[in-house]
Amino acid sequence: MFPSTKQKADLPEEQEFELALSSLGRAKGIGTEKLLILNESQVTLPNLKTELKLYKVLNTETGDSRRVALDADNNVVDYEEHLEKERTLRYEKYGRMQVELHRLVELGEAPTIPVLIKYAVAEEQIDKSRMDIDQVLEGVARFQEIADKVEQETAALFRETLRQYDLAAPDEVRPSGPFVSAELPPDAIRELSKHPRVAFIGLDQEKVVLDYPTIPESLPTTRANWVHSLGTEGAGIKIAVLESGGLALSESNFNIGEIQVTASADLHMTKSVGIIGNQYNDSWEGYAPEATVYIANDSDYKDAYEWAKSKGVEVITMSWHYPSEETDGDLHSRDIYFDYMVAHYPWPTIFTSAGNQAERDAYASGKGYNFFGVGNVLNDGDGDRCNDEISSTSSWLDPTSPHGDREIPEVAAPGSRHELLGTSFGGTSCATPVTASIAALLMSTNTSLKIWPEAIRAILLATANYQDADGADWASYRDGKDGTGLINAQYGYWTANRRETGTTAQYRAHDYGSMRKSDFEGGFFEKTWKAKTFTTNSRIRAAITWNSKTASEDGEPTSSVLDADLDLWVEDPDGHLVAWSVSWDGNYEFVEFTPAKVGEYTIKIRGYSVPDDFFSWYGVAWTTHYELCS
Amino acid sequence: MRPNCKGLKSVRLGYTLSLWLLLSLALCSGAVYGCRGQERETESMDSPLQDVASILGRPVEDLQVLDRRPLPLTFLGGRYETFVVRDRTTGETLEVTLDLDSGRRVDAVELRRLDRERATVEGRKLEPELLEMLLRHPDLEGVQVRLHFSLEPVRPPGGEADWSDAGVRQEFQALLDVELRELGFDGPFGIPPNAPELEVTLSAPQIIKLGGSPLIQSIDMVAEPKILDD
Repeated sequence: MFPSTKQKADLPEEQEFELALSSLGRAKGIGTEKLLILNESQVTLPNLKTELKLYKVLNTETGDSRRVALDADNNVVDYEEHLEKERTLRYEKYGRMQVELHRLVELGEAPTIPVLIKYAVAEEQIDKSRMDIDQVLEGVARFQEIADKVEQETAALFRETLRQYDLAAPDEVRPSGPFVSAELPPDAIRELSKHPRVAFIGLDQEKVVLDYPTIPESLPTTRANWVHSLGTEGAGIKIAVLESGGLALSESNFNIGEIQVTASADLHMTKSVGIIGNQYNDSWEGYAPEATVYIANDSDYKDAYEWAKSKGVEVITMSWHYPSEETDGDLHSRDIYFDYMVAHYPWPTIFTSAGNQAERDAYASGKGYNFFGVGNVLNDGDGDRCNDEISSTSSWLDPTSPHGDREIPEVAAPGSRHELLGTSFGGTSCATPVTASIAALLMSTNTSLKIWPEAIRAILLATANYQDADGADWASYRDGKDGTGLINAQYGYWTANRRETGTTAQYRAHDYGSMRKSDFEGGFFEKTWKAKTFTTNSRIRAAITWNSKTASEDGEPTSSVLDADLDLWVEDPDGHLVAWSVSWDGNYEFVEFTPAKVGEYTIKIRGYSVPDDFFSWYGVAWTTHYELCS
Repeated sequence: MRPNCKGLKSVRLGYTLSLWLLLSLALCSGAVYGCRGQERETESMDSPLQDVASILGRPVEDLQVLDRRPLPLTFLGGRYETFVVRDRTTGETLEVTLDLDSGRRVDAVELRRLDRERATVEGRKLEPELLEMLLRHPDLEGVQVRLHFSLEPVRPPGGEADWSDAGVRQEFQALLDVELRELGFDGPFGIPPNAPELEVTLSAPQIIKLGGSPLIQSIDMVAEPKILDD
């Protein structure tokens, strides 16, 4: 039973189909009603510069099916003849060379090119269909002999080839069947491609082609390239990569200060270091290529931190978490540990990855108050911050808290994916050292920030502008997957470079200090700051951060608790409250708003609830910027 | 120019080689670097990406791969990978999870649900925390676990349980030895004389496999491993 002609609906367009069918009918001298096209395809013969349509046609009367080729004018042509001409032209041009290899050979840029050669070697055929399994097992030695013979002949041919082209003979040739790898100059490849004993010659050991943006392509997203262009690349700052494992590449590829313990090579560790800075591609690249990296790789993170601390490290980056951090919304022991360390000498700035388990309903990591969890924004490498989106895997579920209004991760950075060290790196694992590097840039330009993690946090929060990464309303970071947004090194740099301790109005600046209960009067912190704007087309962002309580002077057991509830208020030039951030359970507050009038806006900290023994370091920062993403 | 294995190996600087060797080991197991024909996948010739393009009904050249990540499952078989692509023409970001064997689109959420469903039967010997962790991280390496064996002590009438002199014990040890060797262990594996349990470090698939063994009564997690976030 032949298929119905109605099935031809999947075949060519109606009109073209009719034309083809009538041409075929004419060619075969039979009525078109007896013909059924079973299959059709279009073929390009590039060397002949011809396009043909190929049809598998069934004569429904005789059951005979044949291949028929039509040219562009629907004339029936001899496909075999065309194919033979194409083969001849191809051989004349390429020999038996792979086209891509030919392109490289003709380019002539590389002195030598790695190639895979297949030699034409006669070999005895084994018909396993004539053997049962026992006979096959008995014949193993014989089969091996046949295979060895092929390889011996291949090796001999290879040596002969080398002699022919006056190339140094190898100490050892190890063919695989009739294949052998070599690295040859273009002229030899050209000659070999027409050698009568060469069946094929093509590219070997191609580098994996990654479509991911390189670091130089990625830097514009965070504007880190702009900071680098001013000569600030992290010099003088020590970053500890705190995770297990050793470098998989020579230390000379990186700016390494010291390595804690000798450990087996680990690609994840290597990439965490490499994203900060590396010279794998012969020139330095990275987000903070001049920062000195310390490999804090003891398997116990406390020992790793103690070591990093002894080395005077100012920034810690951790691209890992524990499984229970995903399933438990409370602070993990790691959170409590590092909350304490941030609030104590040498007051490091710490980042950890939020995790990549959003699709498995995981809590984000970095639940500690005094350091940041970092989210992962997809890295497209186009430098446009407005079209960047948070990765669907980036963990964002907020910690459990009395009022359920904590927000982590606090910020996000480009992660998935960067081309790095001949492979790629992504996830929050990548976004975290990116953020740590940018913190290092800020410290490098203003060294007083080295001991003020509260100020670094406030600056990063206040300058993560042009955020559309999670598609949420720009003005509301609550439940946003990217916190207050995608970090911006350029605005961070401007803000870090100006500390404003008084009330002089600034477009962007920061301040830091300590606060106690006695510093609050009438419910407000005694210090205020002023942000200014000269246009209502701009936006103002402001952020404050302070620390959780991690120790008690009277020895009261203290894990890491938020003992004060501080709010952020912003008043317009007429003293009207125009923006506020009043979370219950967070230790940072953040606002972004469009000012209705030009002038000076007053930033105030309101103490909603401040215990008598309250003491904390704080950081405050603000910026003015244009809206670019609307 | 040294057109042989050594030549290939020395053509780049040592550091480059060491990474490539590592990558080769990871990606091209069995391939002899530089001497035997080895295949490396390139994005430009990537058939999964072609499948993604077909599923989305868009030309492959219009798609920029932003991320691709395997979707490992703990109990269900199969090879799955999630692609995150940007359509360069429309600017849309799209996500597709593929069954790599069939080239068809699959529902990652449904797969994970089925995996959990199967865990209720096949994972019952694993303590709940361990099972939850393995369901979330099916590709974990190096999890420190405690194996509790189903070995019964010899208990003479009126006497105390005795682990040390049971013929069945030797047999059990031999069986366990075989199981562990199958998982790539070199041994020796002495079962402590008075406690029918053993602490070992295993990968997630190894734990799952052992969890199916009649020799094992239960498996506990000894210490939380670090999860790398790449």
